[in-house]
Amino acid sequence: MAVTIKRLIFGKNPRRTLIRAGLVVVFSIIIFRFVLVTMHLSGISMEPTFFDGQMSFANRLAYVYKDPERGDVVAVRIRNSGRSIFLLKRIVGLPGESIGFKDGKLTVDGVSLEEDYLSYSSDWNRSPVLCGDNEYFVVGDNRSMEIERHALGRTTLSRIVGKVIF
Amino acid sequence: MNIKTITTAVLCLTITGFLLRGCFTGPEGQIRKQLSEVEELVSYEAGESELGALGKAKRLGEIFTEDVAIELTGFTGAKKLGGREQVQQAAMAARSEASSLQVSLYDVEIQVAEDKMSATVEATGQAKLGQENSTMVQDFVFTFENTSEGWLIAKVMTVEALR
Repeated sequence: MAVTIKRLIFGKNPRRTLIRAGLVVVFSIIIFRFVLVTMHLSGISMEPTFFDGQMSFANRLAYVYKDPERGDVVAVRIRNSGRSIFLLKRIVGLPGESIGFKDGKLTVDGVSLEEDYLSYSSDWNRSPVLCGDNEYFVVGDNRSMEIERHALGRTTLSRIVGKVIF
Repeated sequence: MNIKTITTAVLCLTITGFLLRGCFTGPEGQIRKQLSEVEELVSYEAGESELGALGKAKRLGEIFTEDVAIELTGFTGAKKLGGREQVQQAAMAARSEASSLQVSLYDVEIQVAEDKMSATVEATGQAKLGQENSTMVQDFVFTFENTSEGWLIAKVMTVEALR
């Protein structure tokens, strides 16, 4: 019986099994330390795309070789040295663009933009702000919230931790 | 050596360790302790008694200097508080705005001045409001002063994460 259990745990070749287990551990550490950011979502600003209490993952390497694009959902560091708390937001404005809200519609350089990922109606109004050379305008998908209770605005590329995968 | 001697030695070492830690906590340790107190005293559960709330508000005030200046912007709207009493009043008033509140501070970074008389602390605050089931996140900068009453908060300012 004991031999069967031992065989079940360690396999035919215990040494090989241990090496495999070690590799899995090392691989997991590399993935979760350098590639993926695991997040436990809290708050309603990204509803209905993401919900309060949901788990989510962001790819840290997404913007190593390419720049963020409009529509990407990203994890944003609250401050440069922040490690524990991120804001989950959608990029709606790119460097050099002027971003505002008029009667609930997003405006880019004064032109109203359709956003097919939105489900809730909005009545937001906000004067346009110009994104700097290295700045992106981010906002949540839940625009039915009061604009005063919703964190939105410009952030720099260095604060964007990664692109949210799911 | 028998087991009794070993147990006594371990116990003595543990107690000595705790005493040394308590006696020689540096400014950083004392400031972190104060911030933990702030977290605890600002937070409240639904159905908290008025006496309990008053006690907590009083203790909260004692963590701030008499002439503390607080400037808040962001989710709570622009608010300015001046002095310990206003902090205590605001703590009581907050209880009428939400049934429960859980405040936590993350990524606390402390920079103590060379003369060890003041310190600047950056922290990210997370507030969970019970009734509304909403979470708010806000960056803060605290200025601590080393007074005869210990390290007290002399200034609090919010920092906008997105501009």
